[in-house]
Amino acid sequence: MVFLEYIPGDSLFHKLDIRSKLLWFIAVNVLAFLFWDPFYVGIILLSVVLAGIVAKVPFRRFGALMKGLLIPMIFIVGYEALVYPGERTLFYIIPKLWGFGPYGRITVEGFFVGLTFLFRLLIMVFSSSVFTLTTPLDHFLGFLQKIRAPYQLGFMIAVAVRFIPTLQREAWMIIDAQKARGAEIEASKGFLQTIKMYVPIFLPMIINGIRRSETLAMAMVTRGFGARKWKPLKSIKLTKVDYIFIPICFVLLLIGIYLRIQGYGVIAFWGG
Amino acid sequence: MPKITEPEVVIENLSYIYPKAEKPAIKNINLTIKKGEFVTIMGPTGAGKTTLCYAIVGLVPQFFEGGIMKGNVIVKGMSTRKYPIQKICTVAGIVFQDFENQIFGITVEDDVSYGPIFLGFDFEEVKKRVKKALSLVRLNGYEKRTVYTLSGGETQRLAIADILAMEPEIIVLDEPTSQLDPVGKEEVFQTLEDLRKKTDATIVLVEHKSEEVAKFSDRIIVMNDGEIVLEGPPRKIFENVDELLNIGVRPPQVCELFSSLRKKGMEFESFPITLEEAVDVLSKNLASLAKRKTVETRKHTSSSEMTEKVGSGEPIIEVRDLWHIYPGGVEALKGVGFNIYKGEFVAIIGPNGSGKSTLLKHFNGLLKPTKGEVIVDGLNVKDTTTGKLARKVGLVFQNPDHQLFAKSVKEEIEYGLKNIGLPEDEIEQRIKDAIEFTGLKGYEEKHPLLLKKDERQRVAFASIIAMAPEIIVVDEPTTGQDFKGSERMMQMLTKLNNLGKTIIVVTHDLRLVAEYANRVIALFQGKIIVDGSTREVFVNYFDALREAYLSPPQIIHLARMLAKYGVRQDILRVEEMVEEIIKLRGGK
Repeated sequence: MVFLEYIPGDSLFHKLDIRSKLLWFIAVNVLAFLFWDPFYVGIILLSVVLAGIVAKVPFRRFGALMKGLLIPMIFIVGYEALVYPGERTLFYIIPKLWGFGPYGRITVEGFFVGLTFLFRLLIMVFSSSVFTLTTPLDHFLGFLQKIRAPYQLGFMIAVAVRFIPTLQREAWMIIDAQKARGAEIEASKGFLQTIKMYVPIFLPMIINGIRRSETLAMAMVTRGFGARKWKPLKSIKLTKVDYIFIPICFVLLLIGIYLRIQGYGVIAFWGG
Repeated sequence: MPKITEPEVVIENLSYIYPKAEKPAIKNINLTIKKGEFVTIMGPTGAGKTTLCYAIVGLVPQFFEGGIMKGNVIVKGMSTRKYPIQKICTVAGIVFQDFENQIFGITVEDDVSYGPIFLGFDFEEVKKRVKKALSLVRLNGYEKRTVYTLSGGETQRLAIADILAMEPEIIVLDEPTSQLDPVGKEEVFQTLEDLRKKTDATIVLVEHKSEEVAKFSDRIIVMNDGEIVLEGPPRKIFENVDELLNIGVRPPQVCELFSSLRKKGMEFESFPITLEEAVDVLSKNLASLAKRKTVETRKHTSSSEMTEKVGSGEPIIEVRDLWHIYPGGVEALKGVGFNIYKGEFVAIIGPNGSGKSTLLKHFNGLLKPTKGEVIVDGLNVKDTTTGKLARKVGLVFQNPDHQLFAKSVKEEIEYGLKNIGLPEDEIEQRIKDAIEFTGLKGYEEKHPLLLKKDERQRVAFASIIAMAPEIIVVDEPTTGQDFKGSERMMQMLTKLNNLGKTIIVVTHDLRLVAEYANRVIALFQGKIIVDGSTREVFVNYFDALREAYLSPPQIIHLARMLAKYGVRQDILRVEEMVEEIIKLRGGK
């Protein structure tokens, strides 16, 4: 659960206000989509990785995620390299043989575009992780309050987060109980069989969920929920670091936009 | 002159029918509760105790749409029909039995502050109230803890703090200890004691543990079938031992003892309801006896039952130097070893976190040993699937709602039988037998989820015994059950035991252990601290048990405290004590 996870710490990113981090996140991603030249996008990626190191993001944890994304990533680069209407030929997948072929022309431009797509993907993954891993739930709720979202929304999210470990534990207890009745949960069967196998786990979860929500609702009204409009106590505040960080983000974003308008960062023949 | 105060709660002719229910959950209730009073409500499951609690805080009738309420409830001058729950909650708060789901904050501090925040108090006031409430339940220092990391007892104390932060004058607690282990129970009772001493709150408590109730209630109300059947101070109530047992309320063991002695024609100056009083009365009685004739010193430590081995002598479960370390490094079991013999009735006891559940899950392979071996009927669990072990070991979990899912009781029982691949006609027969055995005849086509809790528990039990395992393992069969339900469950286990099955029960109820089990294994911090016949364990390892937060039944305490008068020290049950006292008095 990457979104909800928060790793406590005291790095620069932990000290920044959620709004500063949000601005940084937007700036980085806008810039990544502005440029097409992989060298430019690569520099942005490098800055995000640097930010990740500053924020002490455990990159090792991305290992599994990256493994899963490896095939799609290779596919993205390969596909772009193949179909992009570039001019400079890099090589052919099937070279010319006995008057046969050549087929599968890989162009330099195509390869670059593929690389850019790949970098953008990594920028999105890393920057969102830096953002969420350094921001506790309280800051998200404070932010919702600042943008005048209904207070119930924040409360609802907080309650949902509170019950995640409870539900996880319950799921394990149910699985154990059904296994004790001889259910083979891991055995892989057909699609329909798999669904059938999970019914004895999902049904008790749902029913217990209904029971749970009744107690929860009673506990809430008997503690005065709905008595009047209320405000969460915790609020977020900009500090000195933010007053330095925010202008820097803006300036870098503006420089990026200016360079792009001046025609930098596009692939040589792009639009030409 | 006593100060005349307005009654805090006035209930007049109250009856209530839940939406879609046929008969009333409570009827003709008349009750007045005074300021500062400590009132305890007792009664079997389904007596209407919870409904009465809900009525005091206004959940009945307001929370349930479509219910029919007759009569009135006035709380501090407010009718629960007219004032919203969110207004009543400022004078009357409620703590629910289900300790986990009433907590909705992420941290301890969050959770306690929600109440005052909802009521609209400012930052300073909320802080002040949170601090005060947490220190009253002794959770100061826990402010930043995530609620998920708290133990059961801590969670229930947090729930009490949640209510205290709203500063109500009346606190209603609906079975706050019934889902907790002995340590948690102790913590909650301690908190109640503190509240009584340090605040002038009026307390309404629903509780089964009569021995604790006798100590601090001003008044006891006994409910049965929706009505109040007995009402009065503890001494007056607990005198009616037979009537209470008949209703399904278990009085303190000392009351059972004195009631039996009275029936045998013995007279005492007063009727004791606590251990201390019983020791006092019996000391005087036996001391006067000792003057007349010197008590012959008797040997009693080597009674035949002490060393008796039950079971056939052929081990059915062998546990050898079992270690279990969870991912993350928690050492749940640290070198546990024992044999369980065919036909034994074993109780495994120990506080939460002592490794009981971890141990049980090794019996049917839900967990595999980190180190050591578990052999079940010749099969090493390390290389046997749970599916295969399920035919040998039937494991019944504590909460039936973690396994019921089918549309009918019959289908529910069928599930396990199909899983182990039995033929159609055999399945039919086994369902029939299991239904008969658990007394569920006539329930075959009913939906399990529409049944009462104790019936659901029996369905879950039936679904396991239908698989005809040689070994039946039951985790906390009596938690949240009333006295009759617990007795029924233990009797069913005894019956299976008599049929030659090996029974292993994990329970916190040491009174039931003393009455039913023939062997006790006590776990503490992942190790076995005591293993022996029930009598041997309770008598010879009394202090070791207490150090592991396991307090033996009241009657065993009593025997120890009367040792100097020559009372036999190997007493386990009330009847044995009755016999012993008669013997000492030179009666028939």
